[in-house]
Amino acid sequence: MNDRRRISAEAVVIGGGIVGCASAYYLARRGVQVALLEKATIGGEASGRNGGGVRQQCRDRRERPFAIASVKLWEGLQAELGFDIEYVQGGNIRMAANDARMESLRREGAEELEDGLQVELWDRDELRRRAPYLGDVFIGAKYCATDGTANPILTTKAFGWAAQRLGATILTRTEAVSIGVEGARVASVTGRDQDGEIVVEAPWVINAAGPWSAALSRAIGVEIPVEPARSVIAITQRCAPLFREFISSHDLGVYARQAREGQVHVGGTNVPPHTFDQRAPADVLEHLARGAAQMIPALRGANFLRSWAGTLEMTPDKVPILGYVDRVKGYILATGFSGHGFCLGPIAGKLVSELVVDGAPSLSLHEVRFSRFG
Amino acid sequence: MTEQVEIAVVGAGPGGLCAALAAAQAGAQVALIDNNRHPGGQYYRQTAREFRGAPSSHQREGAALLQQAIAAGVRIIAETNVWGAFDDKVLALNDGAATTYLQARAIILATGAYDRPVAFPGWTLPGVMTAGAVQTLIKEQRILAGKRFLLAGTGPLQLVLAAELARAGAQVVAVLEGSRVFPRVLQHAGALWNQWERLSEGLSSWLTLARHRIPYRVGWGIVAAEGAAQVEQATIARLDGNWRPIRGSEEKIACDTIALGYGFVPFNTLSRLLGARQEWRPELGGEVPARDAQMQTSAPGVYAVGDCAGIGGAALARVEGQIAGSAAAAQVGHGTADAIPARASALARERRFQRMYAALFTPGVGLYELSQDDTILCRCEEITQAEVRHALALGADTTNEVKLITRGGMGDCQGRMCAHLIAHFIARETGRSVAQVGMLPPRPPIFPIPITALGVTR
Amino acid sequence: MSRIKDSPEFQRGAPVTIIVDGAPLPAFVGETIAGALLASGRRAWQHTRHGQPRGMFCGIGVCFDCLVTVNGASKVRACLTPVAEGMIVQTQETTP
Repeated sequence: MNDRRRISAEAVVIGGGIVGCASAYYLARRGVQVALLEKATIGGEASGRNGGGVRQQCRDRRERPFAIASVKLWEGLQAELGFDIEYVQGGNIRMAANDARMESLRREGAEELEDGLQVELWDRDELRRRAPYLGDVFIGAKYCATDGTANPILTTKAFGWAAQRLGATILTRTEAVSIGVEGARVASVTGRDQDGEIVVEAPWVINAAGPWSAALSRAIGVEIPVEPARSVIAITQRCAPLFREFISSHDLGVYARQAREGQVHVGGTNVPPHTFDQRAPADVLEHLARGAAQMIPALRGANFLRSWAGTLEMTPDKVPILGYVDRVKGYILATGFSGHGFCLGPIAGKLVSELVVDGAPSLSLHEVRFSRFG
Repeated sequence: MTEQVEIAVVGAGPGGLCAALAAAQAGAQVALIDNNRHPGGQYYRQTAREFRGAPSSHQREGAALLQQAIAAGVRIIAETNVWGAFDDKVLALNDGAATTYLQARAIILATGAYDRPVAFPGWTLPGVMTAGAVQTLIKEQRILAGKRFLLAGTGPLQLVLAAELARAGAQVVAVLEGSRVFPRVLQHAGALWNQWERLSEGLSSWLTLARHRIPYRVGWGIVAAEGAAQVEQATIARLDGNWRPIRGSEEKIACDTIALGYGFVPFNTLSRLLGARQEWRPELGGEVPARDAQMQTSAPGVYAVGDCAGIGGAALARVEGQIAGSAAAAQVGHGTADAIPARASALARERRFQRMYAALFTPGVGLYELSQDDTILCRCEEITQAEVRHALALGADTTNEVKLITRGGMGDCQGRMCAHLIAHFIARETGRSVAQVGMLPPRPPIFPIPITALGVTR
Repeated sequence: MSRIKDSPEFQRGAPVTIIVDGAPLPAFVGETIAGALLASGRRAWQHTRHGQPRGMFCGIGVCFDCLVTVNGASKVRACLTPVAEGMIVQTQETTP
C-alpha cells in the first residue's frame, strides 16, 4: 500500500465544503477535468452546520456585490442541481431593540439601496404587522424580501453530486497533506487516504479548505490570515409553522430560521471564540435559549432537541479571500469566508471557474484580493 | 450556578446504587442522580409510591439498598435528567423547570440500557411494544398493556415476563425464543455454578408457564405484525442458526400485543459525550466504553458500570458498582481501593455468567434482515428502508451520513431507536462492518429540554 | 388493557379524573398518563405526520412515540408523566 497512486487533472480543489464543491461543479460545467480532495465527508464541516441563511442585506459593502450575484445563482440552483435543497426566498429581518441600532440599520439601508439591493425599513407598527411572532423588545427592523434560507447539508452535497455527474472526481476521506510547486507554478496536491498517498497532478490548485486552508498553504510560503472559530446552533423539536423569514437580532445576540420540517434553528451572532473545539458549551446553549425565548415568545413552550457546532474561518476584516496568489502561479485562494460562505458559495465557485477558464472574473475581485493583507 | 460534589453517580439502578453506597461508605461525598419517579432502575422498578401492597423480593432489595445509600449520606437527586456533560466533569441537570450544574471530581455512569428495537413489517403498529414497556407497566402501575400477548425475543427474562403476565390474568398466546438454546446450554453449564438464585427464578417461571399451558417455542421468531389500526395478528416463523426465518415455516397467530424482548442496547451517550473511547461489542449489546479493571473509562475520572458499559444484568452491575465506587472514592482521597481484590471472585463469577448469556442469547444477523423496503427504520422521522437505500446510492456509507441525507436519526429520540437498525442495514448493503459504519455522535441536550428551563438556572 | 385485580391488601392511589381530549377519564394517583390510557383500552393517542397511529412503544421515556400535550405543554412523554386531578391531556398530531 506504500506505492503512491497518481492521477492527473486540469484543476484540483482542496476542501469539500460548499465553496469547494461549487468550484468543482462550475469548473466541471466549463469542461475542466477537476478533482476534489476532502478530508472527511462532503458538507461535513461548517458548510453543513451553519444557520442556512442566504442573505444579501447587512453585509460589508465590499462583500455586497458578491452576495447579490450569488442570490441570482441561488434562484436557479434547485433546478440546476436537480435536488430539493429546500431553498425559499422567505425574506430576512434584522431587528433593532434600541434607537442606536435602528439608526445604524437606517444608514446601512440607504447604502444598500444605493448599491441596488431592495430593502425596507419597518417601524414598530410595521414590524408587529409583518412579523407578529416576534417579541415586543424590538422597535423596528430592516427587511430584504429576496433573502432566504436553504438546507445547508443538502445544498453542499447536491453541489458535490452534480459535479460528480459532470465528471468531477470527488475523493472523500482523503486529506490534502501538501501542495507541490514546480518553479513558480503549482503542480500537484498530495492527499492521504486509508490506503496511503495519492498525488493529483494539476496546473491549478484551488484552496477552499476553510479553517484548514492556512496550515496547508504555510508550507509553500503563502500565509493566509485565517483563524478558526466555533459557531453553535441549537434546534427545537418540530413546531407548528411560525415564520418563514431568517430573523436576527444583534441586540439579543441570536438568529433563527424555521426549517421546512418545523424545527427552529437558533444560532448566535456574538463573536465566536477562536478554537477548533467543536463541542457546544453550556453557557452558549443557555444564551441561545434565552435569546430564542425573547425573540420568539411562542418558543417558550418548546424544547431544544439537539445542538452542534461548526468551525468557521475568520479573516482580520471578516471579508473573504478570493483570487490568485501573485507569487505562485496557478494557486487560487477561495477561503476566509468568515461565516458567510454558505450564501456566497455558489458565486465563489463560479468565479473560481472563471479564474481558471477565462483568466478574468465576471466580478471584480479587487476588494477580496489576498494581497490586501500585505 | 455550579455546585461541587466529590462523586456524581448517574442512574439509580443496581449498579448506581451500589457505586454510590460504596463510595459513601468510603467517606466520599456522593450525589446520585436519577430521572425516574422512583429510584431503582428497571431491575428494582418500584410500584408507584402512592400504591399500597406487598412489594416483590426485587423491590424490597432495591428499596433496602436505597435506604442504605441514604443512611450512608448519599444525596439522591430524583426525577432529574442529565442532559449534557461538559469539560472538567460538569454535568448539566434538568428537573423540567430549571437547569443546574454539578461539578464532580469523579463521575460514575450507571445509565443502564433499553430494549433493543427490532424493525419488521408492522412494528410501528400500536400494540407492538418492548418487553420492558409491558413489564414496567406491570411492576410500577399494575396495569396490563393488552389482553392477548405474544412474547417474541430471547433470554430468560421472557419467561419471567410471561409468568408475570399469566399470574396477572393475561393470556399469553406464545413465547418465542429466537436462540436454539437447549443444545447449547450444556456447553456452558459451568457458568451456572453458584447461580442458584437465577436458576430457581428461571425454574419457577418455567413452572408457571407450564401450569398455564403457554407454548414456549424455541428457535422461533417474529416476522411481521398485521392489523388495521392496531395489532390483530402476528406472522411468526422458525429461524435458522443465523436467526433468519425459514421460508415455508410461517404461521399466523392472533394477538393484540407483541412484546419484543430481543435483549438490550447499552445507553452509552454520556460516556461518549465525556470523551470515553468506545468499542463495538455485539456480545455486550453494541457500542460500549472501554474500561480498566477499576471500571474507569479512557476519560480520566469517568467510570462506567452495569449495562451502560455492556449488558450483563443486575448482579454484575452490583459488583461493578462496588468496585467503581471504592475506586472513585480512593481517587478523590477517601480510603483505598483495597476492597477491589475482595470483589475479584464475585466479578469473575458474574463475568462468566455474562459470557454464557451472551453466547446463548446474542441475536443473529437475521434479526436485522426482517425489514422490507417499505418498513420504517426511523420511527420519529418515519424514514423507510428504501429511503436509506437511496442515501446509500448517493454515496453515504455511515450511519451519520445517512442521517444527514435522510433525517433518519434526527428525530425526538435522538437516534436511540434507529441507529442500530440503520447501521446494520448499511453494513449489510455495503459489505462494511457495523463498527466501520458507526453509531451517531451525541448532540446535547441528550434528552429534549424546555427552552425556558435551559434559560433559567437555579 | 386493564388494571390488574390484585389481592384486597393491594390498593391503588386515590382516584382522580383527568380530561383527555375534553372527556373525563378515571385514573388513580401513581399511574402515568400512558398507563391510564392503556387501562381504558386506548392503544394509540398520537398520529404521525403521515397519519399513522402511535401509542406506547418503549415505556421508559426513550422512544418518544407516546407524546401528548399536558396542560398546554406539548411533546410530553405520557409514559413518564404521572396523572393528577383535573390534568388536561390532548392527544396530538405531530406538527407540522
